[in-house]
Parts: sequence; structure tokens; C-alpha cells
Amino acid sequence: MIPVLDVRGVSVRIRLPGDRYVYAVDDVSFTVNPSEVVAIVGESGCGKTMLAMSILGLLPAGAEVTAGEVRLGDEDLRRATPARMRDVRGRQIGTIFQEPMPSLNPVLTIGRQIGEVLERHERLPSRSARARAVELLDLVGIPDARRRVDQYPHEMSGGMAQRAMIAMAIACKPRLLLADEPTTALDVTIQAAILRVIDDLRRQLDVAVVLITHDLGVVADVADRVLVMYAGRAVEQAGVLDLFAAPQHPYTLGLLGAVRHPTRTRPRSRLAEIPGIVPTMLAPATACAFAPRCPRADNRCRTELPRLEVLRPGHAAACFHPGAGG
Amino acid sequence: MTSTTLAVTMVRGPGVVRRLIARPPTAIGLFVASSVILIAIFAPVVAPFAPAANDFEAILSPPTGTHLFGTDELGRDILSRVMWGARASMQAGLLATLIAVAVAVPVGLLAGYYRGVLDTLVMRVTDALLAFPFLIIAVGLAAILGPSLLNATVAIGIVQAPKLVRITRGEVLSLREESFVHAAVADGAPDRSVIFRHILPNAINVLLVQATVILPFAILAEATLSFLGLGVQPPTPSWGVMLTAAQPYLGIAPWFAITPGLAILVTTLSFNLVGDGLRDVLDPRLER
Amino acid sequence: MARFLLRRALESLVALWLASIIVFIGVRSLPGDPAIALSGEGRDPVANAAIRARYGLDQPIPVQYVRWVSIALSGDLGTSIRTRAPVTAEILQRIPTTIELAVLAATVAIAIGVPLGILAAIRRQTPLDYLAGSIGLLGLSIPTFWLGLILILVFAIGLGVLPASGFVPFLDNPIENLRRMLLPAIVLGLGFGAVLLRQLRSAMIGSLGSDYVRTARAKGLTERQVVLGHALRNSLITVVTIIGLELGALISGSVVTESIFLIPGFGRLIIEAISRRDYPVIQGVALVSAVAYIGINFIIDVLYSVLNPRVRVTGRAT
Repeated sequence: MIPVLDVRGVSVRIRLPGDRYVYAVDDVSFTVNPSEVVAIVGESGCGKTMLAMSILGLLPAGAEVTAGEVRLGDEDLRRATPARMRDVRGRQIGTIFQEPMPSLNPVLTIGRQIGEVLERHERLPSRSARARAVELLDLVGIPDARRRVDQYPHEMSGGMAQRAMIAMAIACKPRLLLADEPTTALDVTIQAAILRVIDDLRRQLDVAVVLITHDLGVVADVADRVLVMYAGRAVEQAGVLDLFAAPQHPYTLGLLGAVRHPTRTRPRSRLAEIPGIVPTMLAPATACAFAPRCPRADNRCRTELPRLEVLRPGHAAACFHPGAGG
Repeated sequence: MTSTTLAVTMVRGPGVVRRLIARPPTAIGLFVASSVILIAIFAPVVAPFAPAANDFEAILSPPTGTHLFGTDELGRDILSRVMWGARASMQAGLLATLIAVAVAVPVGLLAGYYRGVLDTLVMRVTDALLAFPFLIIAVGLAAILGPSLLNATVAIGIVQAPKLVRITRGEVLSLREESFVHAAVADGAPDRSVIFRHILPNAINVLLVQATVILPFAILAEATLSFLGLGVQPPTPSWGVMLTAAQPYLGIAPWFAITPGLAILVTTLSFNLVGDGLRDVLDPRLER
Repeated sequence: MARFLLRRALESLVALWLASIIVFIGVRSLPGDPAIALSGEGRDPVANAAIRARYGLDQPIPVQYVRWVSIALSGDLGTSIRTRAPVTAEILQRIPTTIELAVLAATVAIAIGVPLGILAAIRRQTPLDYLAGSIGLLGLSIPTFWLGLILILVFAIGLGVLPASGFVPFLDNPIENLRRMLLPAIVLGLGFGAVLLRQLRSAMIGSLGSDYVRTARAKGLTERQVVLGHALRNSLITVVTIIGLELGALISGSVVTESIFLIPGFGRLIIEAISRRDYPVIQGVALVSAVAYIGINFIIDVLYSVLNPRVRVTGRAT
């Protein structure tokens, strides 16, 4: 089975004033199979959004991919021309962003914004595009779609706007859906509903999903496999059940410990923190970037760069001292 | 708990001047503008001839070694008159800006802070004032008080004030919602203190940028009014007045019309460059 | 939308009323006999007495104001001291010319400002951007009257391709009319175009950096669709508001331009009036300008409410 998305050794660096660079993504690889949900987890600043943007070819000015391949099916997107990428975006890859309101054009109706994608990629005339837009709004669970299609973004709630964005993203039945923190800006009660929508659509449309999040609850809810990132590097990869049952990397352990588990922690106990903050990589890593914050770190960690090693079938970690229970 | 002030880049900040000079256009603007101001101040010393020195032997003569810019219709040296003319422009520019700021900022502060009836009144009056094109107000003032540089300057200041009131008010409206203002009020600070120690310092950046927009306009406006006979009265040298005199001789003595106008252009341009630079440094949210 | 427009209409009326008070105070402050200043007539004592009675000049000031306003509203703005013709008629005769000049100037301004503003925003920090920026800066800093003189020097005296001055009514001879209006339109339009250029560039840069443009690109829309359909569409709102504010400058600019090119328009009327101390004309011009400005800004508000769906639907701008 050919994976829908095959990211191989992608590195991204961002140019700063004064000829300095931030190495946002360093040699990251992962694959996504059809109908699979792969979650990319990490704190803010770990490079997950840059990774997503590099797949889309929408890196901000000053950021560039310095190495690696991004294969969509059997095509290397890195070699694609800008015109080809414009065809791929929206049609083969659908995207939803973190904040639905600012991500929608305030002066165009929802129907128009959804219709645009259909007109552009499937050459539908406007009337058919509008009809399809109504169907899509229905599909994502927006009630009274016929009326909503002519509304403006500011007339909708955050959750509804995000549903509309999802409708826009799947309008052309893409092979891959990129969801960058789709629930972060929403109320907790709405989060579950949006994840349901994504999950249902994944099954109905057979679309592969890359879900970027910092919320392990979201991961537990919908992900099939997980990639944990830290300071631009992949530090652990596993199936979701495996990751939660037997996390190998100390960072993953820290993340899990920081989540309140409904049955395991004693009531009113402090959430475990990971002391320190994510470093900004001003030079490519030559040692383990997590060492300063890691309880298991020794001299080897501070001088050598750990690489992803398969520890169990389907489970890899980049650590010299892996193992559950720190 | 002490309330902290917000200002990201204060005018007094140390790096401001350095950052201004770092950008070539702003540096050039700063250099030229300062030169004009210096010429205006030291005109009596720097100008080769007296501005009123007639020489009926050499009427409307083209640029030569003695008269670098040529002579005008009364034989006076144009270069010297251009130098002396800088005085009228600088006076008008600086004074008009000062008037506008002195009037508009207090009004805007009070209207924005106290809101209510005062605010509505101020808004409607500024609406009404803004409805008159600048020239109408200048013409009206000239008609009532008689044309002179001072009256023209006052007219310019009055015309710029309403816009500045609006901007000041806008800044006050958004600043008064900031948490440090709430904190100061909760601490029991009197209105006077809140306005002058908290709101005003944070609004200064925007106001300063606006002042740098008003100044070049004031220079252009003085020249225009003098050109139309509503400002500086001859024989006092002013760039606008010189252009009025040059107009009939456009065909035979083009240099007469070119140089004073060029002076206006260069001066206004340099102040605009400085203003742009200041805006880039002080108000970076206006993406350039 | 109706709520928004109603509020703006009321505000405009109040502004108009206050503006009339300002004009009234101005006229009453003029030196000389108020009867002559207000009406332009009354040199002989008999007529003067009639004027004083009509304008209520022996009454308290508020009453005088009401009288004056009602007379003005009836269409009588006095008589020109110079021409002995009714001021209203003079103004009405001159306005179409100035409107033509303004329309031509606006065309020039939009033709220069809009494409350059968009291009500068798309090609930020490139030589094209700097060029456009320089044009914008130049347009802001150049004195209109000097530009007029220079253009006359080059095109009329130097090259002899365009006439230096004079005016031919459009209906008499369209070609000649446009030939004579070309230089004035450029002179007037350049400054306006420069403001337009800068504002549009600024607004476009903001739009192009926004989240919804990122979404539009993520949808695979062509750059043209992104720039024109999304970014420009949003920037238009800002630009329209600014145009409204600049209209006053356009009227002022027409004064100078018409003076230099000897075009018999509304603007030139102002100058002729001031040099001849023709107070009724000045008064009439001031009133008409204020009415025009407030009226046009109201129309701009209508346009704004049409372009901004937030206002259209909720009646409020935010």
C-alpha cells in the first residue's frame, strides 16, 4: 500500500535579520496511510506548524525547506512548480486552520468561499457550486444549511465557522486533510463535536488526516498513530494505544504526566510540570535538545545526537535512555 | 500594586535616533530638513545679497556666477530670496503644527476620556469644521482679519486641528480600556494623574507621527496661500509669493519659477521622509 | 444597514447645522456694513433699510441667524457685489466645470494610484515598490501650483502641444475642452493619486498578510484570485473611506488649479471673490462647499455600508 503522504527527512529553516537562522524542523520523517489519522504533537514552537506549511508549500517569507522530500502518492511536491502546487492545494490537500474566524474572509459569504474551491478545481458553474456548498454544510453538521450558505462569517459561532472551514477543505474530496490545531481556539464542549466531524468524514470520504495539536486529549480521541516533536526533531513515533500505554521518550512521559488522568492521579494533586522551556534552535542540533530538562540526561545525551530507533514493532524513539516509567 | 506603563518605544528611548539614521531615505530627509532650518535661521548671514536689494540693470537675468539662481523682475537675487523665504515656510510650518497640537490634543484627551455630552459635542463640531475645505477657512480668515503670514498660519493650524482631535480621541478611547489604566483608577488615582501619567505618554507616539504629517502640509499650505495672495504679503520673501511674481514671466525667465518651487518640493519632501521614518520606528504596527 | 444610515444622516444634519452657524459667525465678523456683507446690496439708504429689515439686523443675533438660514434655504444667497448677479446663479453656472475637472482628476488619480498601490503591495521591498513609493511621496510633497507652472512650461511653452490656459465648454467642442482640461486634471489628480497609492498599498499589505488570504492560498486559488478577489476586496473599504476624507482637499486643489489654468470654475470663483472683497460670494461658496462635502461623505457612508457586510447586516461597524 502506497502511503498517501510520505515525508522523508524534511528540514526547514527560517531566516532572521542579521544572517542568522532558526532551524525550525530538523530531519523529520513520517508517513500517513489512506484513512489514517496521524497526530503530530508538541508544545508551541516545536516546529509542527512549519512542518505542515512545508507540506503545503506555504512557508512564510524567509522560511525555506533545506532538505528532504514530501511525497504525495508518487509525486514529490518539493519538485512541483508553483502552478502545480496551486492545483494540489484545495484539491488533493485540504487544510483547516486554528482560528476559524480570522481565517475566513469577512466580506464574502460562506457559500461563496466554499463555492470558490469548487469553481477553481472542478470547474463548476456558480449555481452548482452553491448547491454543492449547501450539501457540504449539511454534511459537516451545520443546521439550516440553506440559510447559512448566504451568511457571513461573523454571523456564525466559532464552532460553526470551523465546521464551515472543514466543509471548504473537503469540498473537492482531497486525499489528505491537514488540520492545524483545529480545536485549540474553541470551547471544550465544541472540541469534541469538531473532532467527531473530522473522524466521521475521514471514514466517509476515505481521506487521510494529519492532525497537529498540543493537546493529548485530542490525540487520544481520534489519532491512529502519533509523532511527538521537540525542538524541530521527531522524538517518538508510535501507534496511539502504544504511546499512551508505554511511552518511551522522557518528553512524552512528561507530556502525559502533565495531563490530568481521570482515574490515575489523586484528587487535588499538582499537575507534573516539565521545568524549563522549548529552546529556539539557532544552530542544527548536535546533541539531545531535551537534555537540559530531562531527568535521565547524562554526558552522552549532552554531546551526541540521539536518532530515532525502533524499540518495538511500530514504536520508535530518539533517546539514549528510553523506557516507560521514569 | 503599581501600575506599569505600556509604551513599547518611547520617544525618549535611546535607540530611536540611531534607528532613524540607519535608514538612508530618513537620514537624507533629516539632513536636508535640518539644513533648511539652519538656512532659515542664518539667512541674514548666509545669503549673498539682501532680499530687497534691487538692481534695475539686471532684471530677470538668467543664472550666472554672481546670481546663482538668476534675478527676479526687480533685479533681486533669487538665491538670497529663496534663502530668506525659508523663514516664512519654517515659521508657518512649525507654528501651525504647534497650534494644531496645542488645540487638538487637550480637546481630544478630554473628549475621549470623559465621553458623554462633551464627546458628542466635540465630534459634531469637528465634523462641521472638517466640512470646510482648507482654502475656504483660509479665505474666510483672510477676509475677516486681513491677509498676513500670521493669519495664514492660524488658518492652517485650525484646519489641521479637527483631524488631530479625532486621532487623539481614538487613541484615548482604546488606551482607557487597557488594564494598566483600570489598575490606576482602582488604585484611586485622580483623573488628572491617569490622563497625564498613563494615557498621554502612551499616545505620544501616534501623536508625534501625526505631527510629522501636519508639518509638511503646513509648509505646502503656506506656499499655496502666499501664492494666492492670502499669506505673506510682498515684498517679504516667501516661496509662494515668488512664484506668483514668476508666473507672468514663465516663458522668458523659466528659472524664476523653477527654483522657489524646487525649494518647496525639497523641503516638504525631506520632512515627509523624516515623518515616514519616524512612523516606521515608533509605530511598527503600521506594516511597511 | 438602515440603522447605521439613519444615525449617519442625523449626524450629517447636525454637522450641517453647526457648519451654517460657523459661516454665519464668519460673515457677521466681516468688516464693514453687515447689510452689504450679507446681501451684496444696500448702498443707497433706502435699499439698505429694506435689507436691514429683511435680514432682521436690528434683532438679537439668534433671530438674525434664523432669518439668514431661511433666506439661504430659499435659494437666495445674496447678490455678487462685483457682477450684480445673484450668487446662487453664479455658483450654479460654475459648478459643472469644477465637477468635470474633479471627475477627470479622480480618473487620473485612480489610474495612477490603484494599479501602483496594488503592485507595490504585491512586490514589496522590490525596486518596483520603491519606485511606486517614491512616486507616492513625490505626489504628496509637490506644490500643485508649481507643478502646474512646470507642466505649462514643458508642454505649452516648450513643446507647444497643449494650450496653456483657456476653457472651452464641453458641449461646444469636446476635443478642445479635453485638451485644455488635460494638464489641470493631471495637476489636480497627482496629489490625490499619491494619497490613494500609499493608502491602498498599506491596506493591501495588511490584507495580504491576513489569515483569510492564507486560507485562500491553501485552497489553491490563483494569485490573481487571491489578490483581487480577497485582498483587494477587503482593502476597498478602507480606500473608499479615505477618498471621502480627501474630497475636501480636491475642492481646495481646484482653487489653485483653476487659477493657474484660467478655468472659470467654482474654485476660481473663490479667489476672484477674495480679491474683490465680494463677501456674499464668499459666504455662498462656503455654504455650498460645506453642503457638498457633508453630502458626499454621506454618500460614501452609503457605499461603505454596502461594501461592509458587518454594517449591512448588524447596523454596526464592529
